[in-house]
Amino acid sequence: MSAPTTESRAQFRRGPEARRMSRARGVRDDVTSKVIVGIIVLILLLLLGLPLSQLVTRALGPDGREVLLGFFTDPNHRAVLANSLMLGAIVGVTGTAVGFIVAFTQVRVKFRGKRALHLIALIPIVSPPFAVATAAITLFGRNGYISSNLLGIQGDIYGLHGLVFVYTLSFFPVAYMNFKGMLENLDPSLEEAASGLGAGKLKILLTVTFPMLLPGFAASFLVLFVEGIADLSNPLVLGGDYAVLSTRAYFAMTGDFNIGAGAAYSLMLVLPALLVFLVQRYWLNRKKVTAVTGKPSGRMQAISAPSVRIPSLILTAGIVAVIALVYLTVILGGFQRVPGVNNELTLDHFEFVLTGIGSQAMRDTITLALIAAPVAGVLGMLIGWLVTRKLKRFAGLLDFAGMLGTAFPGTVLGIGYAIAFLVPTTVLGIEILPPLAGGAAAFGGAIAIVMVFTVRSLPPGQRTGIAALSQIDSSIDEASTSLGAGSATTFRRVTLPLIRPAFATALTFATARSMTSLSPIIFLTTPEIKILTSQILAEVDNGRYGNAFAYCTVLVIIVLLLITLVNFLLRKVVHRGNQFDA
Amino acid sequence: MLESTRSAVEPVNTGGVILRKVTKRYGTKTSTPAAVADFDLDIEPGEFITFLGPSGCGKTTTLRMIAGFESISSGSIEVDGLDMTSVPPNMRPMSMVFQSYALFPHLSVRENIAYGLKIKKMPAARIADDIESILAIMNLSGLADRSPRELSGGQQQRVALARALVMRPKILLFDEPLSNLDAKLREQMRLEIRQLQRRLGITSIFVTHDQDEAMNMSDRIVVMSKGRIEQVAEPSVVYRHPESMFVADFVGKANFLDVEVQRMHDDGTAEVQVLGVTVRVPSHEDVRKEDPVQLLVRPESVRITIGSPDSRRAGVGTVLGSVFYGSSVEYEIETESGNLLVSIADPDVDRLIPTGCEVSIRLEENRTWLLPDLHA
Ligand SMILES: Nc1ncnc2c1ncn2[C@@H]1O[C@H](COP(=O)(O)OP(=O)(O)O)[C@@H](O)[C@H]1O
Ligand SMILES: [Mg+2]
Repeated sequence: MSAPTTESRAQFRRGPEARRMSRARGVRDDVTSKVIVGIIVLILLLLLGLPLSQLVTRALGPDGREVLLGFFTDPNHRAVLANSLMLGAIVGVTGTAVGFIVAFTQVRVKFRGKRALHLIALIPIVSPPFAVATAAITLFGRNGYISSNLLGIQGDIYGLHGLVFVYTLSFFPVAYMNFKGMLENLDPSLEEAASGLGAGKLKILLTVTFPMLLPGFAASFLVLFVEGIADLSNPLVLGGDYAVLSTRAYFAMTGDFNIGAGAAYSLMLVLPALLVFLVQRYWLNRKKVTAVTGKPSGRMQAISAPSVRIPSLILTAGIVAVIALVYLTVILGGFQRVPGVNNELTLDHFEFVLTGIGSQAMRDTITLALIAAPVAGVLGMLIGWLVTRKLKRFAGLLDFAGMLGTAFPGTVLGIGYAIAFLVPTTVLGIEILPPLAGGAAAFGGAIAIVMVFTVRSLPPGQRTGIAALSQIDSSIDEASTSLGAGSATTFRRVTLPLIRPAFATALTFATARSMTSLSPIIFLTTPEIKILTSQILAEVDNGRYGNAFAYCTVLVIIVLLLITLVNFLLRKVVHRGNQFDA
Repeated sequence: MLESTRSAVEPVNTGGVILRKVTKRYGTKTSTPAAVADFDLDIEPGEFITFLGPSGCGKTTTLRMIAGFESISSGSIEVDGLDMTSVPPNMRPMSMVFQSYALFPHLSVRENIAYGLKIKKMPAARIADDIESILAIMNLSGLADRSPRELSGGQQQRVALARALVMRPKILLFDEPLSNLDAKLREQMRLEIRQLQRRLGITSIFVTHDQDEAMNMSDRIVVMSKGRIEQVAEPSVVYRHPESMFVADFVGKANFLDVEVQRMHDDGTAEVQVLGVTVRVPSHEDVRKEDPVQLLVRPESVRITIGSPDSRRAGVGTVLGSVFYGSSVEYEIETESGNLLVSIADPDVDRLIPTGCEVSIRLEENRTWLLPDLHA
């Protein structure tokens, strides 16, 4: 070995050159990762950092400080804060309870029609804002079908109780999905052990099953609490005298043009939302792992004991009936001249929606959502890839930053964007970006809307990416490296094709979410760009419920078509298509 | 066939690897023991070398440092005189075959094999040629358009190997590539890999914890324990003249008998008292007359016959039990120097020695090996 052969000496002579080459290529590959990290950090700074820092700056400015101080000194301000917290807390409890009842019935109780129940429980997720609120007014309001026609009373749906009703119905599916997953993953051997010790079904549930779900109750409560205080659309329609932070922020921005006050109200919304986000991320997620074993050791038996079955079925049937009533009202209302008042059938509303302003709104909304979805998807996948494969020390930080889009309520993002992007972006006095939002900006302010859609769609893409990537063995990546591929090539040619199905599913739902969200974009719409949800708001505001219902129906159909289309395409690509069933 | 072989992978006289004081520490704490410590090894071009050792001894870590998937904490790795430290894994002139095969599930067999060539930006016509010849060499010709999941374990293994070979690496790295195959297939693949490697002359580094695999395939074996090299030698030397009792025990079955050294000879042999008789045996150079020693006796290097000792060089023992393997039978025999496992090849099934029987024992002295007993 010590005496080199002629060949190896020849090799050695070629050495330095080869060495220089491989160094250069190697450095380039290393640089690729670093550049990607740099670009992503810049994008996140632009999408999240800039609007939020501007929001905080304005909230701490003179106008904002007045409002913030008001929360300590002014009983009116304090009442608004208390209203928001109260609403969040009540909805947290009612939504969790309803979600749990439906999930429990779905997973554990013996009955026929599980698939139908599942689909019905998911309807509110894809339904646009206002659908439930407007239907509630039509049913239970001053001239409601039920309140005045059936019961002969003057209904009053406006205020806290109306909001709780609407929120519970709108948000319980989140709790339902959460509990459904937990219940399906519970280890049946625990219950079997308890029944071996002679405990009855009801007793087992109360002493064994429910305690194990405690983290799930806590998580659902927190999520719904945040949804409850963050939502803007329902209090706008149904709030009446019940003032909450989000409506205050909205009126400050759009009515008084007091940007500082709007920012200050938003800041108050951020604090609880961020706190809940942190609690969930660093505390509950850990708890959940210990409470539920990943691999069930058998199939859980469906319960047929009447003591459990009958109450569960009655409650669930009641909930299903209410959902059905609300959405039938929506569908039917689109065909009635003045829903609830003049029930003459007509196609005018659909004509308005499909041919007039409505058709532009549909085109704009779908276009912008479809532009944002792939951007968010690629970003989410890149972050997922960096987090699982490339970064070690900063992986947690990057993951956290990407998920912030879920931590900030839509109202807050919208106001932050309005503040940051209505004016040119400057760094050290040099203008680096023109205004991106508002009618005067390029594309009628569409860029800011796409950006806000992107931020909102990033977390689901990122979460899916991380889950999918952690299922791909790292030796697959290494095999690609060993065959000469650099990081970027490996990502493009191996990783991306393998995670594509999961990716597409996540994107579909993200797109659906973009199309049905109101609070972030209501601050960014312009006369040039029409967004469906803000068009619905306009119709509701003017009392043209028929048009609003027609819009809702059309929007739901678009979303369902999109989901079906993606499912269909995936089924053709992926053999085991049923894994993508919602 | 020969022509196609040449076009796919031409034999090269490169691929020498030098490892100098290579050390790997996971984590930053100096208190954690090194996963690999002061690993020194010169691998000749074209050599088939095996890292052998119990699980957790650092074989995979060493291999992955050579491949560049793990950084080295200190020391250096050279390939053909070129320092690899700053060369990223995708630029190193080597290909790895993984335990899980790591075939790309979304690509067909052909696309899997073409993957690296496309990255090299090789012209399509040459890629097609190279793939055809490697498919022929690996007996995969009919399977080119299948997806990996439509292949048996042995076929997947072949595709993984073909995918690595077609890159014409200077060095092939294997991490326990046969451990997912059943016993029959494993033996067949050993042979195939070895023949192919000989024919193509590619330097190969093979990680295994299976001593048979190491014995069958290697030019030299590196026996490792707790992150350190115990011995580097040809299989026969590792088997006959192990450096330590650890090596002797890990490679093959071993009896260690208590012996007393009576005299050391200059020719590397020693006169020892064992089983009540005096014999002259080859000895490790570290053996000192006054230090504790053990005599390594392989089970097949012992002759036994029923009855009392028949010569002055034969000892005595009692059969404690026997295990029948078909092609051989193993007896456990109690002696004054300790219990002794004896393997008799091709036994006469009608005349197995019953338990409790007294036997005369003769060691084949030249096949034994005197070792210092470091545990004593
Ligand atoms: N990524 C890692 N992080 C920390 N310790 C590791 C890692 N990989 C291996 N080790 C440790 O290094 C030692 C050697 O491991 P390895 O090289 O995999 O052994 P072998 O392949 O011989 O079974 C073991 O003690 C193992 O626990
Ligand atoms: Mg290993």
